[in-house]
Amino acid sequence: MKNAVCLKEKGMRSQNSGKIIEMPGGSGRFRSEKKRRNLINWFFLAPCLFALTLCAGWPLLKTIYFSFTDAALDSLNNFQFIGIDNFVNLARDQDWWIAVKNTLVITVVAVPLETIFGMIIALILHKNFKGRGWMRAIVLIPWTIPTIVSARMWAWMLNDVYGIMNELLIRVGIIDSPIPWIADNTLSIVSIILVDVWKTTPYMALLLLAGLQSLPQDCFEAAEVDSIPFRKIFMKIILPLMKPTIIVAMIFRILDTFKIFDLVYILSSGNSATATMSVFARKHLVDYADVGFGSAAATALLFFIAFLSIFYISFNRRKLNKLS
Amino acid sequence: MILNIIYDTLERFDLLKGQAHMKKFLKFAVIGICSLVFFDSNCVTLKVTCRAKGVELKLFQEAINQWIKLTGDQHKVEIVTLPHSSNECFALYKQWLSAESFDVDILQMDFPWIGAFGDILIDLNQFYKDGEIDKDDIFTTIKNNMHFNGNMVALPAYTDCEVMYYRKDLLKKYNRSVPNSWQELYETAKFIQKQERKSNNRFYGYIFQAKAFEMLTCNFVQLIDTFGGAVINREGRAVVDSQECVDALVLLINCLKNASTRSVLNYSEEEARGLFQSGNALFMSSWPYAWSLMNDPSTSVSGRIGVMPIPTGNMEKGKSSGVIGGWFFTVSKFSKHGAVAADLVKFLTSKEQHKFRAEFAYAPAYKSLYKDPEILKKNSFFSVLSDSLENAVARPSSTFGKDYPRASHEIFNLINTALTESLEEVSVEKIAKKYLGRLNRRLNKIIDRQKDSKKKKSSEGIFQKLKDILGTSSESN
Repeated sequence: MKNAVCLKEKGMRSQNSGKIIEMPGGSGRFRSEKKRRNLINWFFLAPCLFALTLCAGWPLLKTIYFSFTDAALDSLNNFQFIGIDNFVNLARDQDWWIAVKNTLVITVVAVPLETIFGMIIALILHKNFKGRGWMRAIVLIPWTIPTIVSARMWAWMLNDVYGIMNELLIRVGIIDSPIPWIADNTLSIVSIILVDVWKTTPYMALLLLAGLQSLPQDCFEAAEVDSIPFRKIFMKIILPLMKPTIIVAMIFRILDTFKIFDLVYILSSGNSATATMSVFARKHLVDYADVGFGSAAATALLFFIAFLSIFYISFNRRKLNKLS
Repeated sequence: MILNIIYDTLERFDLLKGQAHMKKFLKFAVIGICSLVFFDSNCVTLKVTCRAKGVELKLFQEAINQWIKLTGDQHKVEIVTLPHSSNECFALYKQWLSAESFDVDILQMDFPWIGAFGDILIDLNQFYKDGEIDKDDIFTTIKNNMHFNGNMVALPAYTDCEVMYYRKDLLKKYNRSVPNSWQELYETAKFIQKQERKSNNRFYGYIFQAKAFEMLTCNFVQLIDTFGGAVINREGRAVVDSQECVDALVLLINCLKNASTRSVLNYSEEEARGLFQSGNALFMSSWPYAWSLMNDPSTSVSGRIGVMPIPTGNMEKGKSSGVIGGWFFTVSKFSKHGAVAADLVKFLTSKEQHKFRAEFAYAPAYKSLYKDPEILKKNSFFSVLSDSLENAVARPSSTFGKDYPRASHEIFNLINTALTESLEEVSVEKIAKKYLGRLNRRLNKIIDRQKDSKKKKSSEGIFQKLKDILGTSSESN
């Protein structure tokens, strides 16, 4: 993209030299110039768009297509259209609604927690202290471990018989008999949320820290001169100014949490009481080999995410309009 | 013929005029090249799938090396290791099948999959001479499972049958006898757990695998069999809501509530073995593979473990049984080297190989090997296993065929949920009835749907034929 911009500028410069510079809002000549630039833009975008249609668009359309059929995994060339039957069955499926509920619970609890902890860490890292560079690197570690690895790691740590978590809690004296963190349905969800928060707080912290560092310094200096308490600075300066960053970061996390799969797969006993939407979709797609119904579940999940994205984009647009 | 063509071309260009020795040389050269090519086509690379649980992979690797030597180092074998969980292996096979590039020759398959994959496996009977395989020596349940639509599509790699492990020293300490029935087992487990808790607050009476996966289906099928119940009756309908099944589930829930830990709800085989091996449990039901691992001198329970068949639940109707498992070798229809692959399968599943693996506690599928003194000396518990295998119960995979995974998912899912919910509920019987009723409805639904789709398929077939006769394009969609 950067290259494209550079090239565009170069092109413009060579055009401008020896010609009268046209002012905006003017003649038809300018419009054709704009058209030309548009074309160049499309030209540079084409490879990217092509790759996207190939590796994202095509599977997506195929999934939506399959969701209206009764295809099975071992006979993908031999199926019939059955209309919206799959979606009707999905809406009737008790397990699907449990999965939706679980996904929503995890999202609603985990994302705000991540934001709060991320904000705290970001505020600390924003301060100037010795070894700040090191701290920033260290804080990122949970985010850099592949989710499946950290899930396995936590599954061992949370094991009630030989897990370290119970051992610690018992030694400290908080509990007196081991807690089955990942065997009980409710506790499984709690564990999933805990591990998700542990894993993605650094990501939040990083995004928020970037936002903090781009805030105008004069407000803070003025506040310092007036010796305003930090609580007030946070509420009146940081939060309002950080709002767009926080919203973007939260939306990212919400979209991600909606797709949560690996943590649930490892950290729960695998019954439908702890399944999330993507676990449900996988179970039908792969385990039951029911590509039609599984695709319908995947498509429904897609609509949830698409709805959120559209909401986010329109929200952002309104915000931009207000600014201009 | 090739030679003639070459001569013709060369003669046309006047290259071979009067050069008899050249002609001779050429003849040799061509024959040499041809035989090389021929030899090359004889050397094939087989792809074999194999699990890597315990020492399995090492044993099969060794056997395959033996076979390669026997066949004169002609062939190469590439082993594709399978995922740990059998549910995942199944999904993987399905995915391979749906992608049409299917280049694995020999597939290792779990007991209930033969019905699901039967139509992509080759009939191995054609590679056996009369009497070359002693079918009468193979346990009946296994023999039945080797066949699909009358074809012998699979041969046993080793078999498995759940047994009950117990701590000899603890039974002796509290002066209790080895239980004969589930009720006795429950009482003993409850009592000793209570006593042992005084010194060890992490001691459990009876542990089993109740994570929502295949093993829970095994445990359930076996448990209801010992109570005289069944998943499917003779008419092909699900009958898991019978009183026998309710009794069975009630007993399991009681065990869970009073003589076990709720973390078994997330246990697969290895977690349970870990707990038993660390000396924190009295009874454990599991596969035979655990025997040699737990009796390793480095473990704290080595030499203090006993084995018995899974006890009876109902003295009149039930029997002491065990669920049968085990893995088979099959040859895929898509294999380009079917005959060579079949030869390897023949070697791997021969009686001698079963005997070799029996030394490492992989249970053979041949009855006569259980009387072999050499094997019994190494694995004294094989005498118990042989009884269990005679009475073994199979999972309902032949009824469900392709839909078996769905049925199994329903079973383990609902039983796991019932067990989980029972921990908060006082009325055990109510929970058992509620979930078994639900399970029964769902299983019958699968059976009904299967019948419908079969009807639909057969009518579709007629349409197809009509279309073909009329000469219209048979392709739809």
